[in-house]
Amino acid sequence: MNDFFDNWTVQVRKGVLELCILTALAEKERYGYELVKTLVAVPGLGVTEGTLYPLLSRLRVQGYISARLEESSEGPARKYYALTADGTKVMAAMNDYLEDLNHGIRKLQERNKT
Amino acid sequence: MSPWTDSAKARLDQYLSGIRQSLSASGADVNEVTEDLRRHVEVEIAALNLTAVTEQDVGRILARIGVPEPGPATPVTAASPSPSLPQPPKGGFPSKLGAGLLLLFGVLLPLGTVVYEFLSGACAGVLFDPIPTSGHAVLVTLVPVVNLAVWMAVLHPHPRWRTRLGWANGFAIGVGLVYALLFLPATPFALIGILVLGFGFVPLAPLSAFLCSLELRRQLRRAAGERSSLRGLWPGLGLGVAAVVVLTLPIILTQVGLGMADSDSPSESTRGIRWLRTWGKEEDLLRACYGHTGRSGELYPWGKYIIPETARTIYYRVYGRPFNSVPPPKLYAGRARWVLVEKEFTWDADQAGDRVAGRIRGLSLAASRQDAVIYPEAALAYTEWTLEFKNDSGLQREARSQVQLPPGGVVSRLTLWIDGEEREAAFGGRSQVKTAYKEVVQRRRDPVLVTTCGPDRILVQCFPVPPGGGRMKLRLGVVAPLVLTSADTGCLRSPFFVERNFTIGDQFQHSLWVESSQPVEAPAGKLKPEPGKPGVHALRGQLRDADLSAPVNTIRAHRPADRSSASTSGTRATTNQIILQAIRDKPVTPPDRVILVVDGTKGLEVTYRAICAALVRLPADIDFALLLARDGCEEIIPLQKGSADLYRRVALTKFHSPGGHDNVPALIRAGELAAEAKAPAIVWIHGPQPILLDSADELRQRFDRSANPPLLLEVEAQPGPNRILEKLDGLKSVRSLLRLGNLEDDLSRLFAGWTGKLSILDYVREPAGSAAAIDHQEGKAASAHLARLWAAEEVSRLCAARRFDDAVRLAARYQLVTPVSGAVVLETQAQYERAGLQAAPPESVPTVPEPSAAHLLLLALLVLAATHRARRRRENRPINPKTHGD
Repeated sequence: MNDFFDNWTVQVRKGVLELCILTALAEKERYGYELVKTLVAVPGLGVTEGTLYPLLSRLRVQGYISARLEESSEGPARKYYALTADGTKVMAAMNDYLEDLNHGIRKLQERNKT
Repeated sequence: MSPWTDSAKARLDQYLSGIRQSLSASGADVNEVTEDLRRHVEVEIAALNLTAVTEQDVGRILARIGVPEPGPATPVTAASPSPSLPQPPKGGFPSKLGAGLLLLFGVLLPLGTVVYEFLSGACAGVLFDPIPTSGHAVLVTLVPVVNLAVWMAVLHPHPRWRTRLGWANGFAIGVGLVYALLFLPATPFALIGILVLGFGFVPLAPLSAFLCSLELRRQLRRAAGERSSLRGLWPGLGLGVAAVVVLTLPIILTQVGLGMADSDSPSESTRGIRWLRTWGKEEDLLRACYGHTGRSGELYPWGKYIIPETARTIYYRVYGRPFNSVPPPKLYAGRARWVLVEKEFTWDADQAGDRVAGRIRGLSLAASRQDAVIYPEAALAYTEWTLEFKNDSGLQREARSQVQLPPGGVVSRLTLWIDGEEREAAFGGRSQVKTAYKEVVQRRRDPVLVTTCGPDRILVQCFPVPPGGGRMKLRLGVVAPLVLTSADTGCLRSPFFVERNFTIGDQFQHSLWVESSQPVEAPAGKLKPEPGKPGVHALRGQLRDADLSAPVNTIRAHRPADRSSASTSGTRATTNQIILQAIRDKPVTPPDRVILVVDGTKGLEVTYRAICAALVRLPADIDFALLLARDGCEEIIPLQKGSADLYRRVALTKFHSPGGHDNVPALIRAGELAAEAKAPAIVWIHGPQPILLDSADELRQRFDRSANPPLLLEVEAQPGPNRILEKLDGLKSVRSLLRLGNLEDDLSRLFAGWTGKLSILDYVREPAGSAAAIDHQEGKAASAHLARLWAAEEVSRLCAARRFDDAVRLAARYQLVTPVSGAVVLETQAQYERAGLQAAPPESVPTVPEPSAAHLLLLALLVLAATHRARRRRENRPINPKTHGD
């Protein structure tokens, strides 16, 4: 049962990871290190830095986020990520979908109760 | 920056090259990711602040970073969503026809109907007003707007808006459902109309919008994918219904209150009045007063139908003022070409009736002018009031008004302009002139009628004021004695409107001219002295309607104090009769019992302080009681011996009463309390009494039949119609207190006069004997108005003696409007003959100034002399040689 549950949570985490990135950028532009540290600290997400960078790159390639380099006096140049218009749209659609899914599951649960 | 050992660099390069293969399948930019990871490691190293970066340090960091997990194999295309995200469903309607029909019946028809109704008020004019407020207009517009949004979302579905549209659609379904139900009774007729006449879509619009909203919801769900649910149906629907209910709530509450107030059960009726005072909507109540509510005309059509008469009573009880003292409500919301329909429905049901009734829209007072001449020696005044009405409506209208005359005043002239010519009235029995008037009104010709409607009050009716801006002009002549405050000063009040069915604009002003051979003054300063002819003192000014009725604008006229008698031979008697007037000092008989009745109607509270302040002037050794007419009769101070301390303790100001109250029960109780005294007086301080809530028969019987009826002194605190006084018309024991200033001063003057130490100046008019005839010949001749005042008194005496036929004959002979006679102007001689009336000859009517016999004689001599001279000049003219040379 534990293996099954672990596998399931991995699937769920994978499913919502991109949404988490988009949501984290919805508030404001963030540089990569800060963004990664923020997401790593999300409880239950169980994600490592190594997993996040490929995802950021893929989202940028797909046009949902943009990136720019900016020199920093505190160390290496910082890479700033921001949400694009397409990214905003797809994030809203993902949220709606997730909400509908939750609603549907809740209705199923209520039906079972009755 | 810390130096890196070679092994550390090799460790990082090994890590990065190791992950390149797995990254290439993830869709990510391999180089970018390796650069990002390298930068990340460098930042971590920098944060550790190491002196030298070893392989172990790098290893620890890389261990935490971990190896990137293989991502999904996604073809990398710009802005193409990840396969893990929901794919936007394919949009569109199953058929183009269906889409078109939904757009037509769900959007275009309802939207067009809303715009059409808003501009034309077609439904409001014939059924009910579906958009009585701007809130309703927004609600009904939202339905097609939401339908359009859903329609577009079906064509171009986007998951982001689906939930919001689900709610909005639910809301539109709720609003549509309410309106569809409201229009349901009209639906069959609309269908017949469409089939037979080709129109009738308007009543169908709510139903079609509602059905289309339902179908659009189905389409929205389909477009979102069959698995998807669409939220917000029931809560949105509930919100839509609730929004309509909340906006309609004031109408519903008023209808419920009206139904309760109209109950046969007194307790239920009282509850209804209280309900309306709290929740009632004045405009809806006013509509009921004009006969348009309940049955139709409202968004809430299930209320009990209240007849206008009952609604007017309820309105007074709720608000404490007559329904016709405020502008009429907007009856129906008919607009544009439907305005005509609206006007048809504002038909004046009280035309040619005995009441002023409701305000008529479009009817207004266009001009008003008063010319008064004071005869200081005879202590009387004659006022001519010329009025012009204007009718901007599309129908002929009757102008009706109640006019308050100066105390003791009597109408002695009535003139109507017909085709620019002055036509004088016929004076006859009250019923005779009324019948003549009604007959002519039915034929839509030009009559005007004046009858009395209470002490010193007349009802003026004229018809028709022509439509489309037409005008009607008439003149009233009123003779009245001056109210003498001393031997050398008399007071005169101008006639004014107490109730009317026409509008007087806020900026409208009455033009006044007052002249006398002695100085005159207006203490309030609204009238200014005007240079007149030699020996004539004049005042001129313009007063707003509210100022005309204000006691402070009473005119003070000086008079010779030594002229205590006057006489006139200008009588209508067949014999050579002379009327003598004597001014006598009459000791005041103080009442031994004073019952003070105070009207508890809303608005009168402002006078309570003045009443309390004046009470201290009451004599201390009389019986005293104070009754408050509020929800029946409240004995604030039961009958007891009056004292200065008792009067000081009267605290009327603590009483507050909402709405209007019937004063009859308190007056009857006052009559009971007064009955046991020898010289009782009831002082009734009141505001307008526009509604007779109880029958006044018992009250009239008490004053009419009693051998020693109490003096009922009515004190009008605020001007307005008074149905109770109308019922007491003609009773000698009912008198009015002349209002000269503020209420406290006037009451103080009255109460101080009851100390027994004062006297008042009173008139005695009677046919004179021989001694008076000698006086008359000695040059004390006065205006013929004097005879009219005597005749008016004589009519009252004859009425009291129940010699009504003699009273009518006398009133007609002297051309007076009295409780038994009236004046009517008809259009043709044939109409007069049919009614058995005779118009007053022009030379017999009074004018301003009244020509004396000597003046008339002098005028006749001048005319004769001028004629004779002209003839002589013609006879003596030389013959023109050019014309008569041969």
